[in-house]
Amino acid sequence: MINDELLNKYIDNELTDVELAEFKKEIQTDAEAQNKLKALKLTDEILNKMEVNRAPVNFTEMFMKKIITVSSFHKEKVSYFFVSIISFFVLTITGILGYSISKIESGSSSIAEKNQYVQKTKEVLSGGLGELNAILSNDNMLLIGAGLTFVLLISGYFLIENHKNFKEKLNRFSH
Amino acid sequence: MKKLSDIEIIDSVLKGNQGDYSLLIDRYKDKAFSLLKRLLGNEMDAEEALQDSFLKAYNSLGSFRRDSKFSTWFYRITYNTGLTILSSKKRKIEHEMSSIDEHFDLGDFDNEIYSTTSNPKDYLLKMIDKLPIRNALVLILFYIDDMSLNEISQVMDVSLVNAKVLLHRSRNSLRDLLLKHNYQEVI
Repeated sequence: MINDELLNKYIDNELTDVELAEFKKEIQTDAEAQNKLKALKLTDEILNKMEVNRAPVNFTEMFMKKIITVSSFHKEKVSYFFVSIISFFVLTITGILGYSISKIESGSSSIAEKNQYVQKTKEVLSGGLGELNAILSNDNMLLIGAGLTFVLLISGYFLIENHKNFKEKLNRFSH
Repeated sequence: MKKLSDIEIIDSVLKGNQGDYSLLIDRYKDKAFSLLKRLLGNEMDAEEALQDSFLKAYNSLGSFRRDSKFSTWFYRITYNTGLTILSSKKRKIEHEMSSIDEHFDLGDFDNEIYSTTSNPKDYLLKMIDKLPIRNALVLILFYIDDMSLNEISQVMDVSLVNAKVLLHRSRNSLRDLLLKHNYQEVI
């Protein structure tokens, strides 16, 4: 007997050769099934002619403008962030230097005093640099430095991985 | 000029060529809009949902797993976006979407639409709007978007068997309407 499932399979070309031969044979003597098949064929034909609704004109242009505006805003934000940090450091160093120079200028009246001050600064600097050199040339310090760098690199790697995973999770939740 | 595949376009966008995303939009906007218009019932909501869908897809492009087609993945986003908008507007959606076993009766609309249409095509296309949402959507995905039942089951998050049941039931209900008015005699 031909049922609705067989009729639908016939319409969708899902019948095997054997099933198809049997279907064709049976339908010849089944007036009700013939009627249903006619109606189903008409339904399928009409559905195939269903028209696509067009998206609004300029949809693509409007959407792309939006995306480009948003992403350029983010890019600018990032560059401003770095520029402001660098500017802060430059300004701080310039400020400290300026303050030191003004102190030297106002604090010491005679040339001899100024020379004395400059001499002292040189001594402190050369002494400090000498000590720093001594510390850095120490083997233990080199090992500690290398260790610290290694730890920093590993932490950085995990931080980035963690951020990536978090971003992926966030994206998965968004759809 | 060679037509780029969806994957080639996605790779290009991910490399920083944002403008290439417009190729994907042009490729899918109309069919996705058809689906959303049928789901939401008006152009304004459909356009809003279409923008949301493309934006979500754009933001998640990096996490698109290439084990399915882009179209299936995108229509799933579109379908879920449409449902979210719909559920915020109509509580009855929960009832409508609850089960595919629900029976529906188109008799209430039949007389009105039959009396205002003059041929089987107009009559049937108007009756599609009166089908329960999932029954109408399965027809859109199958006939307009040319999706296989397997892809439809992924988009609508139902089993393959249920997708098939939905398609057959929807088509049979329309067929019965044609039979009722003897439209099959036209061909």
